[in-house]
Amino acid sequence: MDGPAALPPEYSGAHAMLQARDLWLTVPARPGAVNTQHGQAEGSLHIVRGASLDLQAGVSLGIVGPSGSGKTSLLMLLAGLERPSRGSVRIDGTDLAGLTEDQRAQFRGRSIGIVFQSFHLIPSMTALENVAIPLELTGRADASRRAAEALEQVGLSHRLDHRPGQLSGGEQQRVALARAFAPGPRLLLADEPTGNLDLETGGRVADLMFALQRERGTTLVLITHDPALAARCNRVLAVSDGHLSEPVR
Amino acid sequence: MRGTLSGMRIVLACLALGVAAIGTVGGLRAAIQGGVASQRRAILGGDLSVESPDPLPADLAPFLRAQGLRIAEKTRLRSMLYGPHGQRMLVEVSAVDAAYPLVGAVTVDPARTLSSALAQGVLVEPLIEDRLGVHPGDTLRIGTLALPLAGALAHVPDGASSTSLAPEVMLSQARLEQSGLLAPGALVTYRLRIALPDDRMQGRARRVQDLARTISQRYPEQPLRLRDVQDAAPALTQVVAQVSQFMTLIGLASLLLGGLGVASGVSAWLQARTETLAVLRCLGASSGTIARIVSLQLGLLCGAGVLAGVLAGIVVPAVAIHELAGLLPVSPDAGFHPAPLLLAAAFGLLVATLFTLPPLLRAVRVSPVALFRDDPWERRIGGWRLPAVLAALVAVLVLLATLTSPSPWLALGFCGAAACILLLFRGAGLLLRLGAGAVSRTGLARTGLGSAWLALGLRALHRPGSPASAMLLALGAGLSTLAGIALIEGNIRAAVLGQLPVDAPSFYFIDIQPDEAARFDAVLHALPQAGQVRQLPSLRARVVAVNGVPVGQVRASPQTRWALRGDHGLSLSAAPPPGTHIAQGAWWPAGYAGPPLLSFDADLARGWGVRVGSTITLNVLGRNVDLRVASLRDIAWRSLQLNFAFIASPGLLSGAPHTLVATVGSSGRPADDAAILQAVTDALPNVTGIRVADVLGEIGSLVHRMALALQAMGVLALLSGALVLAATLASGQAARRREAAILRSLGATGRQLRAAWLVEFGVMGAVAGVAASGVGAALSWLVLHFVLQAPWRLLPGTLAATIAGAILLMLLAGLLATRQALRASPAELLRQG
Ligand SMILES: Nc1ncnc2c1ncn2[C@@H]1O[C@H](COP(=O)(O)OP(=O)(O)OP(=O)(O)O)[C@@H](O)[C@H]1O
Ligand SMILES: [Mg+2]
Repeated sequence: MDGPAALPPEYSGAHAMLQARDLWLTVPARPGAVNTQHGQAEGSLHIVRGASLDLQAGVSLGIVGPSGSGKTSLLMLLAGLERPSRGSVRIDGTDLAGLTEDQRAQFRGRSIGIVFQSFHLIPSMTALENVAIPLELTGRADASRRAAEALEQVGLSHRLDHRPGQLSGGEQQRVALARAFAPGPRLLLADEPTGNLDLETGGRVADLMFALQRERGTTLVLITHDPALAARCNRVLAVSDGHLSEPVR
Repeated sequence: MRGTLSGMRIVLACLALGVAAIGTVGGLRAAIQGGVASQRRAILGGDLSVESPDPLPADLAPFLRAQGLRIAEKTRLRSMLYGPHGQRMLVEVSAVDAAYPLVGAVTVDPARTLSSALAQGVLVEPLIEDRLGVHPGDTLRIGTLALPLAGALAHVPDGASSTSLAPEVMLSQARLEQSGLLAPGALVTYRLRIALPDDRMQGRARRVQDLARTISQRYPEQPLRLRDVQDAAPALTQVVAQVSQFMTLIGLASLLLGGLGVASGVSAWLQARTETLAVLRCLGASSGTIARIVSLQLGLLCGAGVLAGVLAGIVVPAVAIHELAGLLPVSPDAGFHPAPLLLAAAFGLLVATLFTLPPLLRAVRVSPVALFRDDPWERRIGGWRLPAVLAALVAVLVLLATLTSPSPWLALGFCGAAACILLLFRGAGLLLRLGAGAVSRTGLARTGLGSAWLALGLRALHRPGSPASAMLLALGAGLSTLAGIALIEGNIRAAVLGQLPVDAPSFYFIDIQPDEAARFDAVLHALPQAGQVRQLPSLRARVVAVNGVPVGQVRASPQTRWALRGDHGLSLSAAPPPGTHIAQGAWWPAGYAGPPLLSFDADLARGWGVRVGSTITLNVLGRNVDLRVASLRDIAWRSLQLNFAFIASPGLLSGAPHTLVATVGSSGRPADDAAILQAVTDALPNVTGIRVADVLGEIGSLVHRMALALQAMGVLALLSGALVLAATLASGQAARRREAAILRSLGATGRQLRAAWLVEFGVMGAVAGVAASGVGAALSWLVLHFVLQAPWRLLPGTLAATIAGAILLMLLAGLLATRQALRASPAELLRQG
């Protein structure tokens, strides 16, 4: 049940972008928060339980699952922000476990774009500055111009100089998306990228992401509660209670 | 929770530190002044003291005894003391009669009565025993007297009644008269103390006043200085008052600085409760209710801080008094002094209110909707009421500081300076923000590889909510204080010790008898170490009238009024002494023998309204002499040459008994100077040599000791600044940690983040240092120019140390903050919404 998901035949020739092997994330259960439902006798909490995944470059993957099932935790593991308790993550041929913390950060800056569920914009910076950071960190001279372009693509060209506190939830989400794709990552990890958006805006944002997949060959991993968005992905997997598997249709 | 807790601890510490500083200084001052007050009869040596540079009128003592008063005499002069092996040092000789002391007792070591000790020989301060390496029984020599050392003076009750630069030697009056030291022209102070016959206190002050009036009316011609117990230890009282005044102001500065810490700590505490407060408001709590809850909590907290400070203000002086007991000339009054503590507490509460009110009102008044929006920099409160209340609080603070200060103008000047410093650092903060913004917007930040950290660091300085200006003020104000004190001390020391004129003499020799003048010259001529030798006759003179106007009615400028009182050196010279600069008039012709002419100090002349042709009446050895002013001289007192304000033509006065004073130049090396001193005093034992370097060194160490007390307070101000820095950093630390996590998720390496923070804190430190050295320089100039009226010079070393210190402290703060922010796991921070 936890084995690698079968690949769609049309992508079998492309190289592997994302390989996860038997990922576990175990945290010590906090005192008073022992979750008997999971049967934790030893005082630790398994949040991700043996997830494995193979994703070819240029594929889009939708991940669905109930709240609290471990989707965000899985994304943190895939992005190298969290060290797995067991198992390994290999992105574009690089084993994240073999990198130091700083090397992983640099690797993320070059290859991975992340849209966080709660955006995580820097509150004291304007929208433009927020989007420009990852570009500046990799030393691009045209960071500002490219950031402005990315914001225009998400329909925010009129709000470049506003700070996150002055933007609506949906606008912040689009800034976060622009920040994730502006450096042109090969892998885009998005945690509910359309969660705060109305149907129409959500649709446009989704269009944008799939256009990136089409035009630049970006590999997409989208966590979503929206069945319509999941349905537009090449593949869909479900997380339930820390297990990653084919969805039960 | 931990962060806000430590923030609140800092609030407590900031208040406690400032209150404790003010309370401690006030407590120490009260204890010393209380000590002086309770022992002032002993310090004065009686109920009334009569002092004169001339021998006291012969009929004064019988006159007083006839009224049933007890009297004691003490005569003081400066002289050389010789050990058995020719070791010698400058001392203050006190000769006392059998009735001394009228009040209190002299303690002699080894223990015996004063009269038996003085019958045997001389008593010396323990310092002299150490310096000369002598023990009881050794033979000491003063003038022509050789006397055994009878013991050490462990305690002299009237030690604080006058200042002296040399340690004391005590002998009996009868012996001093045999010593040959009381020759006419010698610098002697004759003192007589009077004690009222009974110890009843009623009417004592009245009777002392009556007595003082009777004495001064009886001897109108005599320059008698009368002091009662109110004036027992004028020098000590004044030094204590001035030093404690400055220390109190610096304490107030650190309290004000601590106020900033209070403000930032309270802001952080409120910010952590913002959501709770907003929810409460949404649930129907009125802003009044919330204000009451929050202000009760904050009031308790600030009250606890002030109370802690007050407790420290009780304990620290008590300990300090115990430690200082041996070092002060009076034993401090160890009782409880509530007044300074109350004042310190009042300052503490005022400052706490002043700095808590704005964040409190901001948190309480703002609408719940605004609280929920995540943009704290948009929250402003309008209206005139808050500014009005704050202005009123500031006014009360200024009033309290001014009214409780012994010199209100200085306190007012301090308040003005504090306000200027605040504005200046705010301005520096603003400039820093604008500058960093401009730099990060223009090319610099985007020049290519590796400069992301530079852009990040600079942007951190200019973005909204940046703590830069608060941190600048916190560190800068403390450092300015310290730099200012260091500059003032450095300048005074430089003025005393440095830049001595190249041809300044190394020695003054006094008490040379006219018949010894030739031998004195011969001894020094034979000595290779001795340089230029100059001799001038010296008489004591007192101003009686100026242009016929009695001295009491002369209208002199405030700067020169002092010179009308007391006695002056008067010299006689046929030719102008070398280096004389005549501003007006002319020197008398060689061989002039007409009516006495005078060459006078041009500065004093200006202040007294004296011109060439005016007449000044001087009393010389009891005789009034009219002198016509023939010339006015500009005197360079700093040249340290023999400068007499009054030089008369020799004629009439040359017959008057006098001594000679001389200056002798040398290489200044201790060995050469020792040889000169030895040669002169071996040949002429009653001549006293004063080494210029020793006197200047003594003054320098006095300045240093006073500066040390102020420096301690400066360090306290810096400590408050550091606390505020910590409070400011702590209140922004959560945001800093979160930001670090986000940046790392976006590809920033630890190295880039550290470099960005290095830029941020380094630039802040440099700006704080430059501003602090500028403010310190300005402060020191103001104090030197207006308060101490001394020349000012920029001391680059002190300024460089200030700037380096600021950068170092800031980087240290940045390093601590950065290490903590980088230690947190990014995943954990990012999971939280
Ligand atoms: N460090 C941790 N300590 C304790 N529990 C944790 C930790 N991290 C995650 N969890 C728990 O693991 C579970 C999965 O969390 P996660 O955020 O991955 O869920 P999710 O699937 O993204 O849910 P949602 O759809 O609501 O975003 C939750 O019950 C969460 O409380
Ligand atoms: Mg989630």
